[in-house]
Amino acid sequence: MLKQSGMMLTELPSEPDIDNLIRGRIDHSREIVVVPDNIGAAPSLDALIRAQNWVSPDQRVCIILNTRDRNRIALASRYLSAAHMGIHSIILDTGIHTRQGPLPDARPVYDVDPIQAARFLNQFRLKSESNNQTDPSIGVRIAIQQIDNFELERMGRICRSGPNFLVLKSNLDDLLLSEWIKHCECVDGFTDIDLFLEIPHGSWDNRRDIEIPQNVCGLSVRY
Amino acid sequence: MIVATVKPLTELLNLIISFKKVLVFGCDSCVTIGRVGGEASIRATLTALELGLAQQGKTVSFSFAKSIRQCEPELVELTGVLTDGSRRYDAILCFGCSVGAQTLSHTAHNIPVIPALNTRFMGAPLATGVWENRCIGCGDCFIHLTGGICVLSRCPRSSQNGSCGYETTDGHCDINPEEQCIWTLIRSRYNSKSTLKTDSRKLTETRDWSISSSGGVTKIDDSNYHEGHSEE
Repeated sequence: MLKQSGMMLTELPSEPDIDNLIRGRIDHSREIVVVPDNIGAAPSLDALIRAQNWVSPDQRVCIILNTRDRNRIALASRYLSAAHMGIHSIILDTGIHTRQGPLPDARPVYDVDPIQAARFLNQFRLKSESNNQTDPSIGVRIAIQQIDNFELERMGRICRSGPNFLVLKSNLDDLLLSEWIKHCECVDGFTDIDLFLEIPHGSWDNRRDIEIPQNVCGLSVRY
Repeated sequence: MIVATVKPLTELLNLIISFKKVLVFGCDSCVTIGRVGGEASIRATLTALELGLAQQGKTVSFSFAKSIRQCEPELVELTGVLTDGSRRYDAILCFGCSVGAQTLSHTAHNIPVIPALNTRFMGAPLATGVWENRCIGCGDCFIHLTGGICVLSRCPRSSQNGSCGYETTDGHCDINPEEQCIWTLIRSRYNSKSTLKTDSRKLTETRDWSISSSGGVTKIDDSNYHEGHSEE
C-alpha cells in the first residue's frame, strides 16, 4: 500500500505463487480436495477456477466461499456456477477479515453470516428447482467453545437452517468434543448432518482415541 | 448518542484557509456530551486554527453560534444567524454531526458548510472520554435474542449465529485482540438470564438490508400520527 500526499494509491498485491504451492501438496490419494477462497483476504483467482485447474478427474472438489466478499447475489451465482461445474460441495465461512489482509481499507460485505447463507442457498436451490444429484452439498464452518444450553440452542438453529454438513473448529479437547457430539445428538436434525472436524494439518492420526460417530471424519483445512 | 471526532487540524486549515468570514456553528446535543461540539472544545480548536493560520500569514474572522440541536431546522432558524438572507459569512464551519451539517447546509442555502467533525457512530460512553459503537441502524433490532448486545455493530464480522471461529484460544477477537469475543459475553448473559431464552429462529433468517440506514434515502413518515391519536 502506498500513501502519497493525502491521496491513497492502492497497489494490488501480486498473485502469490499459491497455485503452484498447493498443486505440489495435493495428495492424489485423498478423496476430496478443499479449494480455498481468497486466502488472507487477498485478491486472487476465483476458487472455481482454481478448482478446475487443480483437481484431477478422480477427486471430488469442495470449494470454500466466504461471506466477507459476497452478498446473496454473489453467493447464489457461485452456487450455480459450482453446480454447473460439478463441484461436490461448498463450505460457507466468514473468512479472514479485510483488516488482516493487504487491502485493510476495503469494506467487507457480511450481507449474511455462513448459517444465514446456508439457509438462503437452500431456499434458492428449492426456488430454482435445480435440486438434483449434481447440486453441491452445502456446509457451514462453525466454532464450538463449550457444552451448554447456549450451544445446544445454537445447534438447533443451525440444523434448521439446513446445511448438509458442518466443519467444526473446536477448542474442546477430544473427550469434551465427544461429549458435545453426544449432547447434540438429541438436537432435531443433527444426526442427519455430516460432521468434519477441522484439525491441524497432518494431526488426524494422533486423534484416533476420540469416540467418533459414523458421520464424523477429520478434515485438514488451512484457511 | 451520535459520536464524532474533530477532523485533523491540517485538514481543517486547508478547508477554511480560503475564506475570510467564517461562522462557527456548534451543537449542544450529542457532540457536546462527546466533548467535540460544545463551546469550550470549539474555542480550543479555534485557538489552534488561528495559530495555524497565523503561521501561514493568514487571518480568518470567526463568529460563533450554536443550537440546542443542530439537526432540527426550526432550532437552527431560531438562532437567527442564518435567516436574514444576507451573505454575512463566506462559510460555516460546522461542529455538529453530519446530520446537523446537512441541516445547516439546507438552511443556509448558498453558504458553503464545512464539516469540522467526522461523524463516527451511534454509541455509548464506557468511561470518561471513552465511547464505543452500539448500533448500525439496521432497521430491525433483535438484541433481545443476543443478550441485549448488538452483534452487527460489535462483532467485526457481524456474526449473528455464534462466534466466527477465528477468535483466539482464550476467547478474544482476532481483529481486536484486546476485546473479548462478543459471543463469549452473549453466552454468559444467555446462561444467566432466563428472559433471553426465546425463539431465536430469526437469527438464521437473512436480514432485510433495504430498511437499514445505508444505501439511499430511508424515510419514516409519521406525519399522520396525530390523526389517529387525538389528545382527549
